[in-house]
Amino acid sequence: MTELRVATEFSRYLGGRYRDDGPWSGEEFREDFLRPRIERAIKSHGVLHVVFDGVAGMPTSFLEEAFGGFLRTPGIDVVAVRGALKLDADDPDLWPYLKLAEKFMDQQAKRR
Amino acid sequence: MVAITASPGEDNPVTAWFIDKLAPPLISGLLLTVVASVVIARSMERYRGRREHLTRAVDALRLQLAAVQSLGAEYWSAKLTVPKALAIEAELEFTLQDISALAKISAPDLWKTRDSEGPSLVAELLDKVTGPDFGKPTHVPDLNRVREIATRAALLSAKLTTDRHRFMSKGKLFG
Repeated sequence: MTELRVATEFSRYLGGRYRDDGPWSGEEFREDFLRPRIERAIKSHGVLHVVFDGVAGMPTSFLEEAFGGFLRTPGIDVVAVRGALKLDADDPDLWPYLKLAEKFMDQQAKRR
Repeated sequence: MVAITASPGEDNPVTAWFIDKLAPPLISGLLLTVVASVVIARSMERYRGRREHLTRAVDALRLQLAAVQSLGAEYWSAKLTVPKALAIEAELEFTLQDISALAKISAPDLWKTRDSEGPSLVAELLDKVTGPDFGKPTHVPDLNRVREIATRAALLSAKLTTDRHRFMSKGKLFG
């Protein structure tokens, strides 16, 4: 099991959807952090825990682009990604956003 | 307990009897009454404070739910210019975060674990307001969303009101 702590490894202040929207976007997170770490986790038959504790907020367009967008990537193995990716937060304020991110991934998985 | 007795020079038997037999329980009773009334008064004050805090949180939540319906309708019912869409998106994100925090305060019983009903209801509302096209410059009007936002907001409000009533009637405010 490996961990990706968003607040310390990426940013406490998550941005918008695309790189053009400014720093710390969902697209930047997906391409530069999430994709390489998930690929490594799948190769090693492990699980990547993305931990959101410490972030100042979770913009919904960031979440959609990072997680829903990841499952839109052509050629990706949706089942392997869903098995290798877990979203976590101990902070109760973040729980609805974790459920939302999972919902975004489920919606994209159903569309494929 | 220290016994109160008549002084050696005292010769009134009624006074001696009063001091010896009646005064100690009277003093003890008085002390107990004072302590109990202080404890009850503090407890009532705390109850009123918590009730007021919860009532204010629920009132603020209702206002934010009304705001999210109005903003959501504006966002999803018409084609907007990019600056206008950006402004509404930012306001919606802020309002939704506020709703999430207020919902947690208003209904602690619905927020015990990540899979409890509270986070799920808020997540449903978040999903309807900020669907997959939210924040994209190409987002298109979607009138179904306007109706779904109203439904989810009403569900959340009703559930929180019921839970708040149950929370107060169970006497958990004293906890």
